[in-house]
Amino acid sequence: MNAVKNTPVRRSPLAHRTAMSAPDDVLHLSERAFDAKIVLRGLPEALGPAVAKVTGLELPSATRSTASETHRLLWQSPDEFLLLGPMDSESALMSALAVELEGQHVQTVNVTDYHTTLVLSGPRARETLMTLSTLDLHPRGFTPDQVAGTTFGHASGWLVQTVDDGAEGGPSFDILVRWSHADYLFCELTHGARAFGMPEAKPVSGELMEI
Amino acid sequence: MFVIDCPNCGSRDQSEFTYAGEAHIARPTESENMTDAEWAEFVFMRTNTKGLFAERWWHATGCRKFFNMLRNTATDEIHAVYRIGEKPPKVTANLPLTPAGESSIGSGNDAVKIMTRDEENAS
Ligand SMILES: [Zn+2]
Repeated sequence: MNAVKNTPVRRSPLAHRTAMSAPDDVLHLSERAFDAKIVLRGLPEALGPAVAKVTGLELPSATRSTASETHRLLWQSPDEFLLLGPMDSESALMSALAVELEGQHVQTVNVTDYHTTLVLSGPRARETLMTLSTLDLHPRGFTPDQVAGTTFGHASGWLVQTVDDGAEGGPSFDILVRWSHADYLFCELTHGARAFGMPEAKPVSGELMEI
Repeated sequence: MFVIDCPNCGSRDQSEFTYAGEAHIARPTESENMTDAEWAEFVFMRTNTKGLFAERWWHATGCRKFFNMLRNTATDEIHAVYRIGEKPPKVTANLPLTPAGESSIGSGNDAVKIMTRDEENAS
């Protein structure tokens, strides 16, 4: 996991926060900043071969994601996908995709600095998300590799389950949230998890939705 | 609040969606030749049906696509969800259109506000 929050050229929106945990390892919350993030717009017929060549990943079907050791590809809508890669790989990915997609009616946009990623893991992760979301988060309703664009409190973002419920340490979820909403959502998640002994983080500005 | 079946994402809570007005209103092709009255008709005038109504919805936080819906505006029963560009499917809705058996024309409030002369005098 990338714990870097400051580099000479950029500073993550949660650089002032440290990872937080509830007692007995029931819940962990942290930020994984600076994942490479690229939005791919276009028809799957055009995007599929190019993405496969650059990342080795197949395009996911609706509401799903595909992943390798290094990359993850999220379905966002019938003609839109979000490609995640390792830190500092966005320029190389953009160049490689530009070569493969040359002349086609598609669009690639580097949104690396648009979202940051919150990582919520542990046996209580689902219950914590339930305090903020209207999604069906039962293990049968939201499964590994599933993707949903939704709202968490007042912040909208993308949720994807990256680790199975059966794994040691429980399931893990990535939440992609806009930079300006990241501090709010970080604090809101600690607030939602206070029943599990999570210490509460207070937002730098503004206030939380009381739940 | 109700649950909406997005054609792309599946069942989601209404809070993820934005209402986008009456469906199947085509934008005029030669608007430069229209009178102000005709333009106003296109921009502002809607049928505001009580009962089975074709309307557009936008999945704002999910796939961010528009789609059409046939909804009974009196009972909030959703009869069909279909894609932009498709014709509304044939559905059967039971009339009268509200659980209370109000008239299918006019506002529900008026229908329940009808009182007998004796009741009016008493209040
Ligand atoms: Zn949708």
